[in-house]
Amino acid sequence: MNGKKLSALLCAAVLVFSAAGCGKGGNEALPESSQIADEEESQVENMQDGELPIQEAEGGLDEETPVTLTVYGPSIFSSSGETGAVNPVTGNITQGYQVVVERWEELHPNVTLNIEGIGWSDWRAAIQAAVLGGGVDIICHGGLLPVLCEPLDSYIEKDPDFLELLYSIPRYNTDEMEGSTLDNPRITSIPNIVNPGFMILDKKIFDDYGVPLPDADWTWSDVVSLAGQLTGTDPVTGENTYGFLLPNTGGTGMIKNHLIIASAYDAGIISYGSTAKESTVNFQTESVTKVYRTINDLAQYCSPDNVEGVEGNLVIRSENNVAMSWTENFLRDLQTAKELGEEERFVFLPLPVIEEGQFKGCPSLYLGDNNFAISKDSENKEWAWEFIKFMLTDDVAIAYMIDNGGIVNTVQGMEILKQQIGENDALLQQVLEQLPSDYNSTTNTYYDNVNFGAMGSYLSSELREMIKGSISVEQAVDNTQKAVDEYFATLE
Amino acid sequence: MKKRRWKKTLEWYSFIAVSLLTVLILVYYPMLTTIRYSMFDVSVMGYGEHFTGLKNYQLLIGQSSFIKALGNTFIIAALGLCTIPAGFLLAVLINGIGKGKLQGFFRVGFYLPNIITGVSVVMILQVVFKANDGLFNNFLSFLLHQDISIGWLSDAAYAKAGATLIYLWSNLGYSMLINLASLQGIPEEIYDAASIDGAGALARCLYITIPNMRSCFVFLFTTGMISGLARFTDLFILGGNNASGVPAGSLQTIMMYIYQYSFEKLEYGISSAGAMVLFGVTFIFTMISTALTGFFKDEK
Repeated sequence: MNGKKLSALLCAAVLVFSAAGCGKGGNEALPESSQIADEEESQVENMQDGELPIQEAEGGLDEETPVTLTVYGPSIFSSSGETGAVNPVTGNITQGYQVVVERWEELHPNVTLNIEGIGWSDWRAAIQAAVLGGGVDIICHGGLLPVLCEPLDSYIEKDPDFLELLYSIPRYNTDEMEGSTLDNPRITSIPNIVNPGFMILDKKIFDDYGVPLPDADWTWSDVVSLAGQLTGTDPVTGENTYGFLLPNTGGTGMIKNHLIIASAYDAGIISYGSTAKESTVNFQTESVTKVYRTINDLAQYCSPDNVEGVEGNLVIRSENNVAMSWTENFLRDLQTAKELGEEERFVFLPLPVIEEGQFKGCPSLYLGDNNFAISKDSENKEWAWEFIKFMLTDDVAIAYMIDNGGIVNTVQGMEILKQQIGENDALLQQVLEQLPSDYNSTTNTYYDNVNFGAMGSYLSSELREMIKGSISVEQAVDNTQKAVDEYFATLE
Repeated sequence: MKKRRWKKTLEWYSFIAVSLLTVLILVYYPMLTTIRYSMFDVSVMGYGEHFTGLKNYQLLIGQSSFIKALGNTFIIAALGLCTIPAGFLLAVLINGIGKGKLQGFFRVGFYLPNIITGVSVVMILQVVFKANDGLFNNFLSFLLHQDISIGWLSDAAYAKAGATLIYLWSNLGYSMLINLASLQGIPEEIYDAASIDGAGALARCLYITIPNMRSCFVFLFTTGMISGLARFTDLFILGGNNASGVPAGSLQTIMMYIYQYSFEKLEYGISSAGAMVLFGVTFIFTMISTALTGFFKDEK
């Protein structure tokens, strides 16, 4: 082979390598990172012995040395951008995060706040790339990537007053953090916003069909039955109506339907050991099959577009033709209904009651959140902690989050919110109070979004195939189990 | 004299030094890191790893989902090659119009979808190809005089066909343009001579046009296979940002499998092994298509 051919071969090799996209970014800092991890491990051990982190022991926050604090990730800061955004439904303008930056820099002139909000698509990949690139101090929604986070237990212990203010401090089951096991996890993040689940009902459709609104002690069987009654041609308007809308049928969020209904039947799938390998995941039980069946039954009364995954969420609007759905955007939906003057029409109720187990009689469980975590590699950890506290306690920051539809995770935040939502506050408080204190929707016995590989993708995929009628309920259950078993095989 | 020549050579090399360095750092270094990682147990890069030899490869081969993804990748990439004959036919049609403004209009018109962002294309075509009242189904219903409600992108049985239609719509213009350029490069004299000899339109196409466009077809085949084997974005969005290849894993390609293990399962070692398999497959295809051009034949 002559030189020309050899060089052409090399070019071809480079071309296919580039096309295959088989390389992630460089890893020059590998030994260094390992070293940092080792140093931090010993630091954590020291902290566990009652000592404070080095930065704190040396005199706390330095208000003079210039610092740049970088906040990266999805959630609140990406919803309306830097300067605000127009709500496409109501036309109202929400605040941008510039107000937060200005307020922060007014309080801490030496600390420049650099916020990089990203969208939800590919957020895990984007966070990993950004953190590996260095310079990220606070990771928005980083709690779900524990391997990148600083454990926050010691920070919380140092701030008992702050601890008192918080509504929810979830402990996501994880063994990807120093000193943390799946069955005895450390704290990876602090939620700035909590998203409890609510049912949302279109009173107009109920009235048109002459069907009375249900009470708060309704069950999922009632929901299915009501959905059946409210699907058809509206006797008053003559329009087609659908009894139910299953949220997120077009994506991985489909699993949330499973999670909520599983809590009602106490259909646990996970038994946590200290590691993923020592844990068990079992979908093939009667109660889990019942959950799948309920989802399938509800799908009979959903619109074809909803079942196909084209229409994913109930949109508050005057032309609505869906009688019921559930929402994790309670405040945003309430604000939209209010701005459209449809406050009386869209009614919120607690999720149907739990029928089995320890929490029988309480509303079905759902508590999502948006959280802040401190990057393990941050050089400004104390300032990062200060920022988390600022976001949850400062009036300007709280007002910004509420304006963007967030239920702020503090007593102070709830008080400010109360003035805005009036009588709906009682409903919100009732739902929050009935949630088990340590419950979170990210990792629990009904579903886990952190461990067990791509369980969420497979579960949502099988549920989607099931509601489209491509596979039976039993096949969907078996297929999910098969996918999870395949993941467990990789752990061997 | 020697010193001056050396200085001159150094000056020449200084012009390519930046590009060379960039290629080394941004292509070769990650490439070598991937080879290395494929033999390590790595959860997240930079946070601990240990050598496992060929275990990641062994694990891949033992997984039915990987084999399925491999099969899907070949089928989807092969189906995507339909852009070549479609582009050729379109090019013949446009060429028939003769050079002028009308030809320019069609050239630009057919190429336009190629410059539209993939995400927007998928979002729009998802509505066009939906089962209930989708534009494409309505068109088919009109043509066939019966109700058609196929979930072209949501039904596992049709999803590959639907995904190919999206690919065809987006890439037809590019294929047409390359075909057209090649078509217009064939000397008119050959056609004239063939006509004088009594060759009809079909004979001219079979014996003059197609043989003269061999290198164009090989080029489109090679680039089409490479991009087809690495197909990801549109299929990922189709699945609602889900890398499991919705519906029912029918659209999970190796790239999506790699993504799943990189960012959902956090197993960089396994995903790197997957990337190496993809590299191997793509390399083999490139070599085959290069051989088809006669590149490896001995020069006389």
